[in-house]
Amino acid sequence: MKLKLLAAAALLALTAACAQPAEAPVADAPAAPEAIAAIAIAAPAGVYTLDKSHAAVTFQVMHLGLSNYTARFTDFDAQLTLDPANPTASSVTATINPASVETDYAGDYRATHRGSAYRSWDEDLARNPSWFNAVAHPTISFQSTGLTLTGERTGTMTGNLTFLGQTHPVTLDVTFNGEHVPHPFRPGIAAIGFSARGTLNRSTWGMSNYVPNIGDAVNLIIEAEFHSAPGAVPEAAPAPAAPTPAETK
Amino acid sequence: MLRTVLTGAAFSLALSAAAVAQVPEALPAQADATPAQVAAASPAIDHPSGTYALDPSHASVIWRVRHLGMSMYTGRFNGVAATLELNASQPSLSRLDVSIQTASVDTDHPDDEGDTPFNQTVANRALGAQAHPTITFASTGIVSADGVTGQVTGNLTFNGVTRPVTLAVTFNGGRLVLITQKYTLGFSARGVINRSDFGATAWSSAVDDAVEIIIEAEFHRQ
Repeated sequence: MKLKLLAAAALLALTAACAQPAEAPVADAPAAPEAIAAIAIAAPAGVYTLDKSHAAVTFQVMHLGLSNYTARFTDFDAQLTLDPANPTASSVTATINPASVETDYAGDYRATHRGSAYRSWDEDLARNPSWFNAVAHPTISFQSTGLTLTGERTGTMTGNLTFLGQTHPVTLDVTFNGEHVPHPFRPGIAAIGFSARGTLNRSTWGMSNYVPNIGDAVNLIIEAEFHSAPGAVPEAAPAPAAPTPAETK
Repeated sequence: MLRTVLTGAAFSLALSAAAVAQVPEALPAQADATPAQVAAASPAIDHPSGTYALDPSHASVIWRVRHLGMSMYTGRFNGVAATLELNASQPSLSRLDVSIQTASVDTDHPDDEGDTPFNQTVANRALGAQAHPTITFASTGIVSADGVTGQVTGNLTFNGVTRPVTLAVTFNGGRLVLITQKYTLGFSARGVINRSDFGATAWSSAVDDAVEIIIEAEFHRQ
């Protein structure tokens, strides 16, 4: 994995100079490429853990061509290795418990699925081998392999997504939303927040149940705040931009 | 229910494989067209008129608010009911009524504060659920130039305050789902409200005023 990351970093070093906006499917040769500089990041380098109270993993999939069926995972974790001096060298790992899928199914599942081996629609989704098959594959995991800048706060993160026992590359459009050094409610801790969007085809990982009546394309909507290790920020030197405790009470 | 619908759909539907709905952009502006303008701007659509009720198993009401400038805190309401009176020949004369149980707010917050579930704290402190157990939306104007994308304006009553709100709506499509024998319409909608307009200002030092609303909804003809 380390080798893969090193290779990715080398590749990134080559491609960073010609990064293109993510939404520019232009066949013609692009205009003279211009290096994009990331906005300055004040948070210190290091390993950051997910603030699970301020994170969401939502997904949408088209249902019968009529609506974007919307669900989420409630049990997931992530780790950010932040390199503020060279942001594209930062990396992310994440895991999702597929059994934590939650749909808020409003109907009476037991009454309308009398032959089902499952007690609820969420359990059906989680455990059914045609869906998330969480007994055989209890963890969905993501390991970033590269990050290129598309703007001073935006980038394209590539990574390997392991799902249903198969690993395939995915691409996420990520946005650096903001940071607090220190976190206004947590002295000594730096906090940094991101949004990510992406689309994958679930059939790539072997989940083709009901395609196309339930769409193959899955839209991911991710929000995540990360916290540094305690003590990463000297408590006597709060950044002027962060709200004071009095403002946040 | 879903499985039943899907099994029927697998036999009956000639769906486009690439059926991915366009998600409308949020539309914070208020519409102020007169009824006559609205009627002229909304051509007839080829779907049966009548009363439609929300299929709550295929509906989602999500809200997002910016937290400390770092992420969009994401929650939802699980108790939602809605009725659509569709006038297909004059869509602008259609009417949408929505009712949301305020206390059905769901944040998946992993840490409860003491003995009070965080969802209950949000319901009572941020949404006024004790005094105002229901959030309602009653449409006052519907306009669509092409029968696919449009704007639904209505009165939103939240936290005891009623104010006009406009949603950007995409009509994804409608068809008879054979196994349910229900004619089904599907919509996506986006909107932005300022919660302070409704007197909802909890945690305002850490949580932005603007609330993004993301709605997906299927309706069954009654």
